[in-house]
Amino acid sequence: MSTTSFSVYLSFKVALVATSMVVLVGTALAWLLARRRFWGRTLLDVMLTLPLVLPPTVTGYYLIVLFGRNGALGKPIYELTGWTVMFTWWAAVLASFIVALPLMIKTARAAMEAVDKRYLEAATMLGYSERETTFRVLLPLSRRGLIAGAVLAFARALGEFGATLMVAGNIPGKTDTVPIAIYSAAGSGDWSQANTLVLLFTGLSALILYVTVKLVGR
Amino acid sequence: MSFCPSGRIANPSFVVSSARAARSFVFAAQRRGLAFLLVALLLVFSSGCKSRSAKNVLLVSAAMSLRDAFTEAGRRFERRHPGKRVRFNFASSGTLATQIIRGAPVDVFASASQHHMNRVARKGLVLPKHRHDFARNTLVVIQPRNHGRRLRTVEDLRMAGKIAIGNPRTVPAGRYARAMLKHHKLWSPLRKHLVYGEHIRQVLDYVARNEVDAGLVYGTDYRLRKKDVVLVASAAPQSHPPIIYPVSVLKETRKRKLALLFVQFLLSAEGRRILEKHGFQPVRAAR
Repeated sequence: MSTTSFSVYLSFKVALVATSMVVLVGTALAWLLARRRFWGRTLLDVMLTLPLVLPPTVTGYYLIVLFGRNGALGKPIYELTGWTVMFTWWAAVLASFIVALPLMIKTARAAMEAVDKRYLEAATMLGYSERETTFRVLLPLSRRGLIAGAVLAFARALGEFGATLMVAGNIPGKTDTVPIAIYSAAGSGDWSQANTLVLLFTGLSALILYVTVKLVGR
Repeated sequence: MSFCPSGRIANPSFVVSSARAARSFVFAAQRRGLAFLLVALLLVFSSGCKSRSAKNVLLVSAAMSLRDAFTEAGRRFERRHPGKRVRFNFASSGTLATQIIRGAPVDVFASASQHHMNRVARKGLVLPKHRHDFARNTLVVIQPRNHGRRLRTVEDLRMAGKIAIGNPRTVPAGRYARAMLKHHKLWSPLRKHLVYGEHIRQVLDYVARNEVDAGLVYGTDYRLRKKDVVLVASAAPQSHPPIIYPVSVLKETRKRKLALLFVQFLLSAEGRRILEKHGFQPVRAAR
């Protein structure tokens, strides 16, 4: 596999894995924020939104502090398992996950809160448990917003660069996602490779967006 | 930005009075929104003018490994030449060369390898008469201080799980490291264990932070983080091309005299003293 096609393959692999995680975790958190009141709710909301407003390098910095081999979480993990997330493709997944999560939460939450409460109340009155209401009424009715959130998250995950570079590093054949490969090619004056990567990436992303838009039917 | 015709037009009182004129005209025409925009644009675009036309500010792009030495050299130079200022742009030599080739308005370029200076020279952007070798460096293998398994020789790198070197495409230290590893027949076996840093200080930081098991940096960089790293071995000089730093005045500079003064300062006794103080070695023969 040439380096160009590997980068594209890696970027999509990372984005797909990260987006899957984001959809699961994000929908759950969106549900929590939309349907429950609890102490610290606003604080949680703010903390989950932070990666959206912080520069990716700040996010990357926090990830290093937490997950670096000497980090608060990274050190015990390394001592227990001999494994560190740094400089692996999982670090790219982690970075993409953190930055894409707020997009999913915000979109999903808005969609859930827009569902007419009467449907939910009706479901409860007719005997549905909370779980059944959620899975059979709330989520299907929020479908459009959930898909939109997933697409946004995927796009963000694909394009993640700053934090990824800081925790996954630039290791050709291992962690060089397309944004990183473009940065490396452009920085070393290899404009033909940069061009190839840019065109390939733009084309594939446009294709995905097209298919998604058609599916959602907007 | 070519909005700045000359220093005179861009001076503050003219800006303010022209802004006022513009504003009263447009109020008369009753378009407040546009007036605000005009004033804002005028102020934004003229705020860049003053510094751009300053003949006394030099822009020097220098390899990251030169950061401490050049920062000090810049300060001494400014003290010797009151009214003149030196601004530095530190990055990996490859990145700097690419910036210059793509038109960055740099006056002086100091690279950690001949390769990237040659790239700029091939585009006709170097003044060969004013290109000089001014310093040398060594390549060393280092480890995190609090690392569990201590390596003792270059051969021991075979035991390292992750080794940090500069990205050979853009970081000269990475190229030297690759040459050294090839010399020891370690390049192929260790390739999968390499982590690339985007500039030499990042490689140093990876080791200092214990993110990797070993790293290859310059002797001058190792000195900076002795608290966090230990020296394993020095690369034998014959295991890699000589590490010689060239500096040059660039053809497109608008401050040739000042640029020449700075290069001459680097080559002077005081300049050489500063470089030696930071661990660089002198160039033996004059180029």
